[in-house]
Amino acid sequence: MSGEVRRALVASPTPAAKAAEERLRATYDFVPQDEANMIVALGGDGFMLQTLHSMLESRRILPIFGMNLGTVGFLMNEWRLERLEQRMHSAKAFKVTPLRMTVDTVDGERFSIPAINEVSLLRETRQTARLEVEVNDRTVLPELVCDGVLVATPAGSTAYNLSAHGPILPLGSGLVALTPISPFRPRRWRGAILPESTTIRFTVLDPVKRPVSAVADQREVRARSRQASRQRRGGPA
Amino acid sequence: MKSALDPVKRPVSAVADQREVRDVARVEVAIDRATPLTLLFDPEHTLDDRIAAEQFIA
Repeated sequence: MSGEVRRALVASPTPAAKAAEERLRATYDFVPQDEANMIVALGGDGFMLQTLHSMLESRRILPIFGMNLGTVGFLMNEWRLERLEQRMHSAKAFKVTPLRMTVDTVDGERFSIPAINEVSLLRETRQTARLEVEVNDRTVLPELVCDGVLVATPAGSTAYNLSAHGPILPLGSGLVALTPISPFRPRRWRGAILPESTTIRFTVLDPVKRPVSAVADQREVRARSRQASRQRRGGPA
Repeated sequence: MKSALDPVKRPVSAVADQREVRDVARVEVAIDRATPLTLLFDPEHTLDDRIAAEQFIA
């Protein structure tokens, strides 16, 4: 990295991340995020995704050096207090291109949402989802009967995609994985690997009887939807 | 994942509320090349190596 380094520090609200933040702030100089040209993020993969999402929303995108204070830490480096400057100087930069999903709802609303790991469609009730799948405006599956389907980036290919038996895609391969979640019909369809220039369209067949939700980056949303469903039942938070 | 059940952590993902859209009719998905993100890794633990190595984890 050349030029003056102006680092901002962001941390997950967990006790471990907060404690690490305190120690780093006592040791190194940091600037506010709007003055920074580099970000240090402390937390787990969920926090990294959240930080990346907020950068996409603010349209001010900076390189991030993450240190793991969460569970898996796949997108993070090892946590260490020492030699931060040297580590950031010698770090290797990896470009990750997000997906963007454009969603039209049954009520006629439209949303455009980025996803770093994957976009997934999931049935909302016990009724299976029925989806028409188009690749570059060509119908490839007239009716996919399933719990859902997802599209994963290489960076996200080891996450939900892998759990749904999708392929691992090497970073920089220029590919995306189209992976069904519990497909019932077509019987033996296992998904597809497609060039990243592909546009994939899902049309929900019978959306009133068989409602389907669309989710960007499963890891962040699952917890929230669990909380939401608890609130609806009036249970404890 | 164990941490997802941790009630202390749940408020963290509250912003993600906007990222679930219910009752969808049509969804179009494509890579957005206009907004590449950059992740930095120690040279001995790079992201490309980690992804490749996942294929050999039993």
